[in-house]
Amino acid sequence: MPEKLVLFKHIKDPNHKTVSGYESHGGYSAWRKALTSYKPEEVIAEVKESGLRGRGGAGFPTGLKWSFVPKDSPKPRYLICNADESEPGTCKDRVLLEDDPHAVIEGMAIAAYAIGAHLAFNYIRGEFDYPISVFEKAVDEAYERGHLGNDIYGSGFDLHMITHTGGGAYICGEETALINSLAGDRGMSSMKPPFPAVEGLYGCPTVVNNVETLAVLPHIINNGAAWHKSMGTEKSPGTKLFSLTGHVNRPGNYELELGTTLRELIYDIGGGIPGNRNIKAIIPGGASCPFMTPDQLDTPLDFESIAEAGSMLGSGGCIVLDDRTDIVWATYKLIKFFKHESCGKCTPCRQGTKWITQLVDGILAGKGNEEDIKKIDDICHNMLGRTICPLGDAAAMPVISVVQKFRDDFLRRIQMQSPLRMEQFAVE
Amino acid sequence: MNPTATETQKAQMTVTLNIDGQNVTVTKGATVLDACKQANIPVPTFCWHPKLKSVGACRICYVEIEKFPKLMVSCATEAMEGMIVQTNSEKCREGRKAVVELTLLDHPLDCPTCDKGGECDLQDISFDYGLSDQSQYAFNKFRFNTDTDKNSTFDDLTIGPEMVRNQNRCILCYKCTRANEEAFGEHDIGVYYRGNVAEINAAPGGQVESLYSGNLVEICPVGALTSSDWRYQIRVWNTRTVPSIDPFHADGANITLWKDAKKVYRATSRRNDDVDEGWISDISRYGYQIATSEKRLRTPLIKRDGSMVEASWDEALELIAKRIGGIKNKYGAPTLAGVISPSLDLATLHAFGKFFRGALGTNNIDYRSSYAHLPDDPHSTFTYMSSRPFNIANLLKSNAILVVGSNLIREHPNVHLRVRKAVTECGARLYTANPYETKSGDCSADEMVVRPGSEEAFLNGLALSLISQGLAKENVDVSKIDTLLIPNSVEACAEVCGISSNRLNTCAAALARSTAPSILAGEIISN
Repeated sequence: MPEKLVLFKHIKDPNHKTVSGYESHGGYSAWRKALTSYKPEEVIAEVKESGLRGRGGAGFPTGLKWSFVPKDSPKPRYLICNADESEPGTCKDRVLLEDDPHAVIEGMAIAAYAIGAHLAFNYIRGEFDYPISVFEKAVDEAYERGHLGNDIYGSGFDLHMITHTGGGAYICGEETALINSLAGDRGMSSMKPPFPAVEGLYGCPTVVNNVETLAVLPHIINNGAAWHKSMGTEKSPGTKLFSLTGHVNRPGNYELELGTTLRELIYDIGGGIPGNRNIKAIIPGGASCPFMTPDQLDTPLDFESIAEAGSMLGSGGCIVLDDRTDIVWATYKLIKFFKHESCGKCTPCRQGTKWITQLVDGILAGKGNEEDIKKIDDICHNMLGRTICPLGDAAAMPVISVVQKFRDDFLRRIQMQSPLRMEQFAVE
Repeated sequence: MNPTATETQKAQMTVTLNIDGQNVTVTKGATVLDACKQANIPVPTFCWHPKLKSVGACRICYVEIEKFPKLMVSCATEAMEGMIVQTNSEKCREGRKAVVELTLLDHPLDCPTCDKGGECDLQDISFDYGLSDQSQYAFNKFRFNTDTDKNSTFDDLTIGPEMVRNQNRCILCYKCTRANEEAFGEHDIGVYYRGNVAEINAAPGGQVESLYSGNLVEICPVGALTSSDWRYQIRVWNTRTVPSIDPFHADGANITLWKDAKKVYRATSRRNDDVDEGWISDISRYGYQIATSEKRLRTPLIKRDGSMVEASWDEALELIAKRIGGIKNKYGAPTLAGVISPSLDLATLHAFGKFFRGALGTNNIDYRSSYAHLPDDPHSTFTYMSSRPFNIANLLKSNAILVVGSNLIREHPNVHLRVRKAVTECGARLYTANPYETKSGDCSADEMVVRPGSEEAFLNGLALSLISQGLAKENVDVSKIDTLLIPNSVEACAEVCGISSNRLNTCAAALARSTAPSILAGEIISN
């Protein structure tokens, strides 16, 4: 299946990031259409009908998420765009913010209208210097052209937009931690319930959506739910951005219909593995997803099929590891990341990630023994599903899959009983 | 109302769940842990505190609930009708065991030298759920060190006037930082860094020295925060406890004194929800120290040749009798007067009065430590007001509170906390009117700083504002009120007290429209 360009249709046009360029490609027509001829409930119904699922990782139906906002609440509502893209291996939101910022603004506006929010925040990851400047400029342009502000298009609807930069913490991509961080507290996740849709930012109903999810909305409003459903699979309709990285000939961001197979993504679009080597492992959706093995290459990339194969579609950050990769080293890099990013609020994640890091480090240093593998597995199972937020799961799941599927690699490393040296990674 | 209707109503307000085969009925909105506590079923906790919001950080309070695939933290799971809860199943114990193991990874286990030993939650829970044999953890424990010895567990750091922190013992339950913000509205203790190296410390450049800082030590589930008076003094099992009442504040927080045969070692709170909710001020907590203070007088002193010389009680009493008797004989009883401290107990005050009135024959007795006390005329409005039944806990039912002439945190630390809670958790609107800014003003809807001595004008302004807005009660005759009050218009009052008439009007309207207003008048209001 070739690339299907919806979000990326005009991405290569440098003029597209300016408001005039965006308007010349039909931009802001969906916002005008939504505001003038749709009621908020109709927007929600349309998005529900389109089957759009959250692109941030969990794949929760977007329309359903919006409908959890209480209709009779006297409190103000808020919309937050989650642009704290920090999943290792994922770099799709960055491209949208840099090259198509107005699509994000338009999507945010439509979502804000649907839930009745008059204030929308874009929480952008702190390291994104350039995307932040592009996005802020785009917001200014949108205000100038009257796409944002008071009484937009004479409809009486007010919408204001605030760009907020994060401090650079992975955990702040989790919605409750993001909300705490945005409110000025420590970026630590909170227990759900209450869900943000009921009690979020400043205790008011809040919807948090991913950048890509929001950028799809103008297309759904313009082309209708049926058009969106015509792409992808029945339960995972539409297109999805995939960030292909690792040992491939043409790494990059690609837009594909959901349901395209891993093989097509890696070989047809990514151009295969350098030197025609074999694949050792694939992380299909960003670092928090369980590893897949080459025999699963024909798995279609949609939420259900990948879940059936024992992994997750996640945020679409596909990392390919070829057969030269030392899988123990890869595991170490992964778990070290999660240890560093654990916020420290709940015990299993805070101490579990630390212990696993030490165990894997010990194995790499040639001091491991066979029991360590079982211990790692035990600790992971004590973290899985027992933490406040999904970071604990995100750390445990890939490690569980690794020690199951690549046990031999661990055993070999343990039997070597000698420290790993960097020279072993020298490119041939 | 017929009985069946009441029952239906009651059923709507409560849920019944089954815990370990026992049916427990709790009010709607209660957590599973609340239900367990109510039924006296033990569930271990670290980060949970009855007066703070649940955060589910420590994960020790796992229970197994039927139809839930995962273990649930009981402190943050709402009890639902028909839930079937297991608090001691195999899976539960396994989960808790894992949490204890993880919690102890970096804990120094220095119980023999830790002052918390004997009353430590971690110690107790480790005995219940810890490993019976050697730890599986084969690495060096992470050490926070303030000195150069990298293996030492003693990184004692004084972070407040009475508070010492040992981060190595800390299990990061965040109870101290949460209580400080939620219950006291202070921000002088916080968390630095993140993950397993997160560290509790005083705010940058400051100390943990709020009036309630002692509570943070008391609620610490381990020995990470200890107080300077208790450290290295005595083991908890060598003390006896005595229930007592805070002698320093009129709101009378309930305290427990910990003592042996010789002296008192510390005071802790003794939770009484009608009075203090388990929070006591540092004055109540550390004030007992004056009883055994080195500086305290132990014998009477008599002035001889220009300096004070120690004397026996017999000598002293003889001298007093001689001098007072001499004055009475020479000038008559009315020339004598007695001044006594109001913080003495009632029996002493009574004996003092008897002595002056009966034995000496004078009525010149005073107990007021400053001019700023209310008149003791039994017919005055103030006496009538202060004899009305008042319950601190009822402040939570108020939806508008006015504090006039009182630095609440100094006068009544527990009333201050309750007022704060009424505002932050129950949504009451608070108005304060004092001659200077007070801590209570931090959470008030309008902090009105009146001109010193103009509280009367302020209150008159409120009354006149009520009348002018037509909010006075119908059965009150307001026709002559402007002839009775000086100044007699809202604007004139505003001029005198320095609060604009707009603010007076808003405050008056908020109080009048409230279904349950409270007015607290303090000692500044005075003359």
